[in-house]
Amino acid sequence: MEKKSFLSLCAGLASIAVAHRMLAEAGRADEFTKWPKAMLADGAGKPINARRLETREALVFAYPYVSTPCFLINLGAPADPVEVSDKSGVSYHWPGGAGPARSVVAYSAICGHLLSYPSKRRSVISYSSGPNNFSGHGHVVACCAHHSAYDASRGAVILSGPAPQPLATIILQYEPATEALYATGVLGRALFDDFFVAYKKELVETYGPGQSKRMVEGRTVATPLSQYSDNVVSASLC
Amino acid sequence: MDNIQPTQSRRSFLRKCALVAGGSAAVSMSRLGSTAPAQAAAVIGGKGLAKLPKAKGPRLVIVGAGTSGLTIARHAKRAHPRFDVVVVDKQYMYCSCFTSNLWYDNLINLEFRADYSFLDAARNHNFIYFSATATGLDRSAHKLYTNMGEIPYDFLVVAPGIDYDYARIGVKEPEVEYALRTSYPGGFTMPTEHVAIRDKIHSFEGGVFVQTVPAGNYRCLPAPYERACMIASWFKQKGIKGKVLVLDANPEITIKAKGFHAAFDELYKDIIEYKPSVEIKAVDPDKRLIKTEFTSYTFDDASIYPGVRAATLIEQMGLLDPESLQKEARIDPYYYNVPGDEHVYVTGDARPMPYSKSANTANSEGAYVAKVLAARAQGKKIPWESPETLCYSMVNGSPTQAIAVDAHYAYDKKTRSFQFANVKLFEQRDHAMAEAYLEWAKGLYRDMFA
Ligand SMILES: Cc1cc2nc3c(=O)[nH]c(=O)nc-3n(C[C@H](O)[C@H](O)[C@H](O)COP(=O)(O)OP(=O)(O)OC[C@H]3O[C@@H](n4cnc5c(N)ncnc54)[C@H](O)[C@@H]3O)c2cc1C
Ligand code: FES
Repeated sequence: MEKKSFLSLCAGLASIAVAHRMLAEAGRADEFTKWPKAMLADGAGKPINARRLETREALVFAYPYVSTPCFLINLGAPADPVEVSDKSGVSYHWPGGAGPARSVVAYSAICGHLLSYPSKRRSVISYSSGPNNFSGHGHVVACCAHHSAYDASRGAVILSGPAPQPLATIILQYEPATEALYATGVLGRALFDDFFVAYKKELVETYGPGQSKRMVEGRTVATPLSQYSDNVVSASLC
Repeated sequence: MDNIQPTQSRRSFLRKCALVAGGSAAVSMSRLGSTAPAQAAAVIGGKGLAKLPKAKGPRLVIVGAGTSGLTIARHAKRAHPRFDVVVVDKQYMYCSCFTSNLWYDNLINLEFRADYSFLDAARNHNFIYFSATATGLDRSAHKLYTNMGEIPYDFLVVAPGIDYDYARIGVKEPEVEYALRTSYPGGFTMPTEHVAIRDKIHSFEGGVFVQTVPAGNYRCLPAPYERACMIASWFKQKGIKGKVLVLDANPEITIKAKGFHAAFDELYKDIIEYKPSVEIKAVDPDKRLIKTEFTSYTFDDASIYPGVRAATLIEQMGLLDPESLQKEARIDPYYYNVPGDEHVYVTGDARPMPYSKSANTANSEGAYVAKVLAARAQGKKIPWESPETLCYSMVNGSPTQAIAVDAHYAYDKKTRSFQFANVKLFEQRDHAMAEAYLEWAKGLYRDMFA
């Protein structure tokens, strides 16, 4: 899907989320890509209740492709918007937390360093609410492959380690009436193209030929990481 | 500590530290400012120009498609797309040295280490892969010589890794050296050694298996100890009545000592015997005998890791630091270029800096050197960045458990030496670390090939 000018997008589509408005206000359209909206669901297919989200571990959901994993994280405290910039000069306005307490955030779970991601077999990238070994920070997504740590409460900016860029943000929309959460797009560099090249063989094996690049349609199931992956390397460890 | 010889200081560095902060190493700074005269080609091979497509931008030629060379190829092209990158390697197939110890214990299969093609790397990272052996260099003419012809360059990176130095264990006769290379290989250079060592371990029926550990800044400090653990783990699982005798030239395990000692004592008490300060003076391959000044050890089978030196190509190209005990190149320790020549660089395990000769070091250093090259091609400067040595060691094969160390380096002006900085040790073996280890390696393969 091509990148769209966020401003023109906002002008045309009334249904776009609050978070999007905040982006438009920031006036930086280039780093946002709108993807088909998907409701975050539990294992039974019901909407995930934003009020009752786990705070100790991340949930994994696929978005915007069936094969690209993301983390859904309840920080347990409101997250304010911040300006995010990476070493290559990319910068954008991160809209802060979504949900009733503005505490829910979502990020691509593909590490900005060398693309480690949570698979069924193993996940060396995870979220820790408590401080992790290297960065000393809490609310951290850390990838123990080479010790990159990202601040989940501030747009996944890099806290420590070799990653050259933050994790891409998944823009969430909260519907107060139903308390449901929706993923609506991706902010920042998502690395999907690199991901598809790096894992081509693995993705064909897991999803079948031509299947891994299917878009998520309508809803996407969010599963606690500890259930999603057989071996989780805790973010607190590295 | 003025004008310290890198090799001497490296030794003291290793002796002192066993990777504790405060261990220090130096590289001579006073000689670096001098401009070295361009040297004529030491060895010339091939006739005329190599048959290559015409360069579309500044040509960056990289010798060595190992951890260092492939990392630089990818990142240089990304940082400066105008670079026309040519990677030259003499190997026909890639098979990583790192993780080879895990293969001995069947924790990974051969595909894990070898299922990567130079052609895929070239296609994915937009460079030319040129299968050839580099034989010489003419720095004044900006020409690399290979057995397949000459390659003119704008920038040249020489990343050929290491070779063995058998003289360091008292072996001077080629007959003995080749008997050892063939029958008791060190397993730290060519993949063909790894196949031979695995065969030894898997067909071992009992007795003493010796693993030696050299002195100096040898390739991958923890790897010989890790290998001892993997061999012992195999013996344990298969019920083989064997002993692994670790003969270490150093007075103590050089890195992650606590974690390795714990594994030796708690997991392999009756299998691993560790002997420090064993300075090998001679080896008799026929009698299967290792001699020191005072004693000798017999073995049934062995992997004898002799001393390490930079790949002979460094010497052939006239890039050698004559004062270097490990025959490493003389380069600027911050920017990696040959002093006085910003067109020629030496990286990876052939570097003279006392960094750990490990894959993570070569990879993180490679990402930085790529930026240096991109900056210089555009007339810019960038600040120095330390490499990072993140090194896992598998100490248990069943269940898999690993330990790790993570360190950076900093130059201390007072002592005029590089020191470890931000050292973190993970010496409590655990399974999560073993999982991280496998993913660590896969990440590196992705950086090099995908
Ligand atoms: C048994 C073992 C275990 C290890 N374990 C670990 C570990 O756990 N963690 C870790 O971080 N590191 C580990 N390492 C170390 C790591 O593999 C090396 O430090 C790293 O690969 C060095 O990279 P390099 O590019 O300098 O050399 P190499 O990867 O060796 O690459 C050098 C390349 O240069 C080519 N070459 C040489 N001469 C010529 C020539 N004349 N012409 C053309 N090509 C040439 C060679 O064919 C080779 O492909 C281990 C190594 C071994 C052997
Ligand atoms: S892949 Fe995550 S830190 Fe390297």
